Amino acid sequence: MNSLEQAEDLKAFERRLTEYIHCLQPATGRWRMLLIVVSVCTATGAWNWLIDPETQKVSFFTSLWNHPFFTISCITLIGLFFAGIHKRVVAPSIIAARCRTVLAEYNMSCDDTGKLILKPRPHVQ
Amino acid sequence: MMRTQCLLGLRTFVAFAAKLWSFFIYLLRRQIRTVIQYQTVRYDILPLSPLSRNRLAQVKRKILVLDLDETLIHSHHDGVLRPTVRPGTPPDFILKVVIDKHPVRFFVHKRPHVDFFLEVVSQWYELVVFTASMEIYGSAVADKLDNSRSILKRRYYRQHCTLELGSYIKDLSVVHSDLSSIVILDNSPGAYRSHPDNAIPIKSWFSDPSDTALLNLLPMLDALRFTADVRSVLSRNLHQHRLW
Repeated sequence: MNSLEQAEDLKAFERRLTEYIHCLQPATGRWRMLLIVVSVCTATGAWNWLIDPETQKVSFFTSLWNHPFFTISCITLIGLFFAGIHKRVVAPSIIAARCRTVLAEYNMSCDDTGKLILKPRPHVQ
Repeated sequence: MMRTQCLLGLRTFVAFAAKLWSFFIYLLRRQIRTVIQYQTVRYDILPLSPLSRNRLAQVKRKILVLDLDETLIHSHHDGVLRPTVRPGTPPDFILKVVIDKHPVRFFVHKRPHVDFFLEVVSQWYELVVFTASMEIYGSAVADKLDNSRSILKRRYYRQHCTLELGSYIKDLSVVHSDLSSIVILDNSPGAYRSHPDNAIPIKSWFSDPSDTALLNLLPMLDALRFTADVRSVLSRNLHQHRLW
């Protein structure tokens, strides 16, 4: 195996890593957007719920019933976390971290965009 | 009188609550694996760029040799006094195998994400099972993992290994003569001792429900199929420096 072929192979290998991580970006952006929207909804809902003088007088569940916007957005937020949105918003870095874990075995690493980092061969003791 | 009744009522309530709680915990334990698997970022198949598609057409389709025990599954049988898995974890399936005229029950636990892993890598590689266990057990496990998808058709067992210094070595040339397009995934380094430059090591798995080692491998395996010779990448390994 000559070094030219090896370099070609490493390039093809790296190309797939970078292109995969690049392809993940739009979906991650959508998840981030969704998380921000739902968080803002929950925060405004919570604010309205707390400043309502009725909230302190009536029971907890009645007060939630009086504020369906807060209740629904809060349930959605909890549901999103159960579905792992906190991991989905950082999916590209999770994938890059997984690459690094495996590539370490081969004396390589990669950055967050999937670009390979080749390390010099350590000396055998 | 009133106090005793109150106390009694309280005791009944506490007992009931405890029962409800343990039932809830039981349900939770059963569901926890599903929840963890669902939460984890998996590896969605994303489209290839034209450049990569060209490249893929130029190179040969590779073979991925898979080990079973402690790589894809973990199993223990009736006779084991101290099973390595946490008691109370239900096995994914139970195999009844007759070994030396004795019926033995194997409790098999699948490594997390194994079904997803097989489904994805079967689209990239030709899969081959190579296990150091006996054929009667290995073929039954492979059948279960295959789940009639016919992705694990080629299988090699103990009789195809070479025994050296008490450990079974898997000779890849039995599977395929061209070493440029064959990869072995195994948890025991001894198995690929004769082909260190075709190996991908993986941590042995026994019971950890949050293990993601199979998912970790997917980006690497995805990229590796674009090489003309897998050894271009895999020969950069550091594992030959270790003592066997």
